[in-house]
Amino acid sequence: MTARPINEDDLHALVDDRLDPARGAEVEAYLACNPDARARVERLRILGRDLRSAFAPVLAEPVPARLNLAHILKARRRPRRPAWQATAAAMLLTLGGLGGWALHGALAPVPAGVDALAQEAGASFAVYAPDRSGRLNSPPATATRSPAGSPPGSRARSRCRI
Amino acid sequence: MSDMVRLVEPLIPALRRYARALLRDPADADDLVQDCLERAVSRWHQRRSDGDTRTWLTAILHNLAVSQMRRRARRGAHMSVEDAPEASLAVAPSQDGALRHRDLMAALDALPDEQRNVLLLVTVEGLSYAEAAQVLAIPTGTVMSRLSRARDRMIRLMDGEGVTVPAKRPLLRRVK
Repeated sequence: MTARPINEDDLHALVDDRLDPARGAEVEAYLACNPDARARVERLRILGRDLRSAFAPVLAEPVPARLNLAHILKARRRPRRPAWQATAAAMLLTLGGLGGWALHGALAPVPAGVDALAQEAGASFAVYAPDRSGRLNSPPATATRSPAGSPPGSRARSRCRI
Repeated sequence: MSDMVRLVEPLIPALRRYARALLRDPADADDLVQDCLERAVSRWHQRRSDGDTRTWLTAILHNLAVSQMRRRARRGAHMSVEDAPEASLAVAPSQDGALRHRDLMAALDALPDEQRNVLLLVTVEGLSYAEAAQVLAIPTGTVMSRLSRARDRMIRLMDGEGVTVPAKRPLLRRVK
């Protein structure tokens, strides 16, 4: 008989049900006349059963919601929308800022109230201040009277008031 | 994506079982499975279409577990309430099943990581030697030798030196 000798790997493969039928029969025949090897295989089988039954309850537990594939797929798709929205918001902000800056010059405020007065005063000064002859300032009616000068009393009165 | 749900969903309970066997803490184990599923979803298109989905997923889970255990080892071992000696003493001696379970877990803890991984993949998860080799990225011959050493050690610890198991169990395990 030229059968391959039975080795340690064969015993493990028998326990794990990984032997082809022909080799399985050879190993079984060997075990039949080797009580020590038989006891060892039996012990290995018990160890496997113990380990499997120790962790078997996990299989019976309901799978937690966070391990639900549908949820994981959904959570993976969700981050894309906020990113898209953030980009859109950033673009709108930039557009608004640029537009506002461009329109700032075109829509310069029309002066009103004290500003309007100040502007008018500035314009008047620019027009009348260089006019030393006084020609612009004097209405035609006073122009005829002014060479005669103001009555002396009125000038004195004004001096007293100061 | 629908074929992904069809192929992956039935495997989730087994992934949870392997994660629980590796990490023992239920919340940590489910965190690991969640990481694994998220990674699987994002890399679904990268997997080999002729490859086995279970082997592929288990390899992802295993690699995540290895890096997590490495981080944990660097921080120092985490000791859960069940592992504490007081807790094991609190189990009534009459509870034979509970004692047996505790011995089994203690022996499993005492195994080097590389041996425990092979033992769990082959014995509990029912992977073939070739599949286990693929998950662990090691030759099939190495799977066989680690499996043999792991089983021998478990049986020795449980049958022969069971009493000395708690004393021998290290708090800090070196990861090579």
